Amino acid sequence: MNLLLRACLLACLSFPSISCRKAPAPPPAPTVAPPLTASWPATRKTERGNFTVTIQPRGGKIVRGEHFTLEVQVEPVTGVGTPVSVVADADMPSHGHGMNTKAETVHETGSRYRADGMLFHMGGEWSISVAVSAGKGEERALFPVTIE
Amino acid sequence: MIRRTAPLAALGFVALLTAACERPLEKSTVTFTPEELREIGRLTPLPPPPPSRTNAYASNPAAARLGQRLFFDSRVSINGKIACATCHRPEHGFSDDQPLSQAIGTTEKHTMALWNMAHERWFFWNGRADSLWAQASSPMQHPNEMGASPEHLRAALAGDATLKSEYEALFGTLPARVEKDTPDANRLLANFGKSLEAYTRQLISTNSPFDHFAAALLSGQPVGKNEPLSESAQRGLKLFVGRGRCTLCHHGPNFSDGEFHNIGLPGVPTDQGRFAGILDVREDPLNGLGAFSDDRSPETNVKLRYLAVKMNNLGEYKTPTLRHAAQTPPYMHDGSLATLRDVIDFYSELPGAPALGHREETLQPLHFTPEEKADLEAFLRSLTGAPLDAALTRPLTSK
Repeated sequence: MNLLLRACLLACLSFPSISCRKAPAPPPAPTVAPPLTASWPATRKTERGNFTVTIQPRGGKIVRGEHFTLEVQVEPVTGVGTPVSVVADADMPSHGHGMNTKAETVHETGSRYRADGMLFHMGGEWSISVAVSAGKGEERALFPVTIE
Repeated sequence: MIRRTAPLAALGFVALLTAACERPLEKSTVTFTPEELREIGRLTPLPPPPPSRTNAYASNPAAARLGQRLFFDSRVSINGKIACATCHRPEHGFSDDQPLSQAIGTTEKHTMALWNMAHERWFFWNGRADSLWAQASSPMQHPNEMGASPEHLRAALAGDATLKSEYEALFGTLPARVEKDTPDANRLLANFGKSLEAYTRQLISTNSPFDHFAAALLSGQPVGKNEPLSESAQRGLKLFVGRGRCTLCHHGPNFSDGEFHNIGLPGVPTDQGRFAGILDVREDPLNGLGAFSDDRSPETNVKLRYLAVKMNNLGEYKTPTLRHAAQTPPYMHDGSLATLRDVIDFYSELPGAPALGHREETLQPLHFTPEEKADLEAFLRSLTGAPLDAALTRPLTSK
């Protein structure tokens, strides 16, 4: 896997026409709701309204530069069925980058999930996303969070 | 009567003299908003370093003594001329004045200063080691640095009665011989690194003029125009936490977020930055999850478990601490900026295109005025702390 990644990179660097040096397009303007208050838990509906997602960091707060676990609860609103996939992630829309970690979302029991390995390494506006799929396409709930 | 009043008169004279010598505080004209004060409060004081859980010897004084001996011992290098201290010079903030490290050969990177390494999360400019002890074996073996093999290290330890006895008292009997990439060799390298970490954990910067100023400011005491910070440095601090947005990356009491960023330095890329660092640290047999770690638990090694490699990591290098920065020119991973003013000029205008990858979106030219540049430089110079105990900055000569 590592060899493959390094080889891909070498190819990128060797051919200027497909060079990785090209700056990516500016990130799209965030389409997220107004920032949350500092209180947890926070609840949002997914984009198509099929699920209600509630999140809160374990321990009740997110500290800049420290790993944390995000507790996630997903409840179907309509008859769309039980989620088959729930994935939590986060990015900084105005910075054009995400976390330096790859969080792992695991199913605990019933409607409860948890995402381990979250880390917000910079202060500013983050957007936590929880992508839910019940087999008919994915829909996300977005949670804007300000980290000091 | 004269005898009785003489002591009182003398006392009064002293009081008058003292009052005459005490000048009223000339108050600073620099003011800070509540937001700026909150941000300043996050920059100080520097707490004790976190424990190094994967190194059971990190706080062991005997290991620190052995580490200090090895740090200054050039016999560890293959040609007997290069010690850790050859590049990490104590009198130069444990860095050196060359753009690129000059050891057996010329390396591709500037020598990192060692101040406050115990506060770091990743090591080397690209973070290819996850602990201070794991990083030590790389420069020892790199052909352009110390060029030694594990067997050369073993022989150097075995050939000196003090080193041998101190090593064996800590880690057990030295093997008779070690072959590269074997468990015995890696154990030896790990022990070498663990003793070096015990020494370098003591290289902590404290009590800078900024810390003293901030302590007074944050406790609501009136602050003066010149002591402990000049008004120029105070204006620089205001810029640092305000319009300059320097704390986006130079965050927290160590003035570093411990992470990696592409600031878009121009030039010819010599490596892939953090991209390669992530791949390397995962494969490192000396990482925290490996057989030579003293704590392989998932909780301790959470940073390794969830490490992600992304194309964004191309050309990213670690945010260095700014404490003692004035002591450690030149600057940046490639040593390409000779002075603090050059660094400020770079961030002011962001000239050129990145050597690799793309520059972080948050970095925008700030077009500082000459006065602002002078203020920022004055502030950065206020981050130099008290000198270390001199005993830590020289070779140990006796047992």
